[in-house]
Amino acid sequence: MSALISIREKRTGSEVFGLRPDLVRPSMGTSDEANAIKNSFEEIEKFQNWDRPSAKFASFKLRSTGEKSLKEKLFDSLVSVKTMTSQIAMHLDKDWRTRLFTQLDDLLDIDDWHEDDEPVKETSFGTFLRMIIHQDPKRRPGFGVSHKGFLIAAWTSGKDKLTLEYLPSDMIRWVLSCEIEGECERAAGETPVWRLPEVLKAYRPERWFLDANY
Amino acid sequence: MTKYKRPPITEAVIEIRLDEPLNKEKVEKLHERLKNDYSSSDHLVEIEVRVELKQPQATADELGHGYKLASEDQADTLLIMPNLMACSRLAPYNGWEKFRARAEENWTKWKKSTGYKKIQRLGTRYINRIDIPAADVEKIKIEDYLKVYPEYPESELPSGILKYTMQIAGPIEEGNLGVIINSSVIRSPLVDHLSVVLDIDVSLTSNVPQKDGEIWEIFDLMRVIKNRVFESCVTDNARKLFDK
Repeated sequence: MSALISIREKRTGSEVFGLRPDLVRPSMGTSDEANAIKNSFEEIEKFQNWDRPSAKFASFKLRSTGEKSLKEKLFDSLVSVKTMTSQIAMHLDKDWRTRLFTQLDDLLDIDDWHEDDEPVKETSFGTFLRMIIHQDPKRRPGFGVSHKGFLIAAWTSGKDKLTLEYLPSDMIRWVLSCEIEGECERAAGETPVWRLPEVLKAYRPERWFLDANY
Repeated sequence: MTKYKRPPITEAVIEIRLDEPLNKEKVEKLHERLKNDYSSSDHLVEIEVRVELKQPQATADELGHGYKLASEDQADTLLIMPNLMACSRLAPYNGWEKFRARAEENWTKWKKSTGYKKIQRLGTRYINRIDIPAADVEKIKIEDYLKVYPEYPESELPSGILKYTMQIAGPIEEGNLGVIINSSVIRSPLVDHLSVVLDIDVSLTSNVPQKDGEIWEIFDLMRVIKNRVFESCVTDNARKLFDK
């Protein structure tokens, strides 16, 4: 029998199921044999890193003749988030993906971009993708980007508003305001992606997420 | 591959490798001819950097350069390098016919631009990722999903394993083809899942046909073999995941 262990690091929020990169690296060897093993596994693993889909391309460097222009930075960011999305595309509704890309094109449009702001960080977008598949909202949010390059998604339904800021390492900063039994309630917090459905449950998140006609 | 609702393919590649690299001018000419079929183009440069420690100085030599062309959604890419053309499709995969047609169209333009060049290797590669639900599951038996998995001394690792990476390579009798199967556990892009990669590369390196008709017949054969290898490597439990 071959069994994979399923581990979730609940305390840090950066849970890694069954794979703890820090634990599974072997001790460093210096012999030719050690290097041969290392090189062959690096070659395989390069291709299998889900957020770097193509090792063929990763082994080459883009020509860079100095600081990139804002236009280039935004373009690189757009390429990066679209490529990342492709890795979970089999779990995304086709129409959802198409409209998401249109929103991202608009979001990273140079004409609407403030020069001092950071383009979307991959680590933030990775958290967004994990949340989207985990929470499965039928309705798409409106998007923004924080000064630090963290993606912000907002769902509004009447007076009820939910805003999520996607941080690195699977963390989400959330802020909401909604009407519960005639009273306006406000709440905020920071939680790992996997805990979000549980955290939002008390506020009936379907008010934001369930609206396929959006 | 059977037509699944959610094929686990994360990347499909058709690659034609040349015996001799093209010179810089030819690569530029190819880029000019093909770039309009894609929405973006990245210049790729392979650089070797040498650092001299005795007289502290660094020198950089360009080893080769090429281009990566990509569609607007980044799912279709074409790699133009001095020694190869690699046509690639990321998920969502929309079938062999479309993918093959795009690769063939690129190759026809490539040949018109460069003229005849001897082909050294033909290859197709399909990288699949099997996302296995793992919420509230302590251990996942790999053999429930894959028929290719590592055997290890259970007495020494009674709790199970955190990771494996393996590669199997060998000849396939029909058509003098060779197959490489890579498998590994990777960090899953999905919450509460374990993901295992099944990467299948089928290639031809001896008696490589040089005529277009024969080349695409070989690619069609490779596709049949790739599908057969894939189906031989997965279990019904895995198939259910692709059809959910």
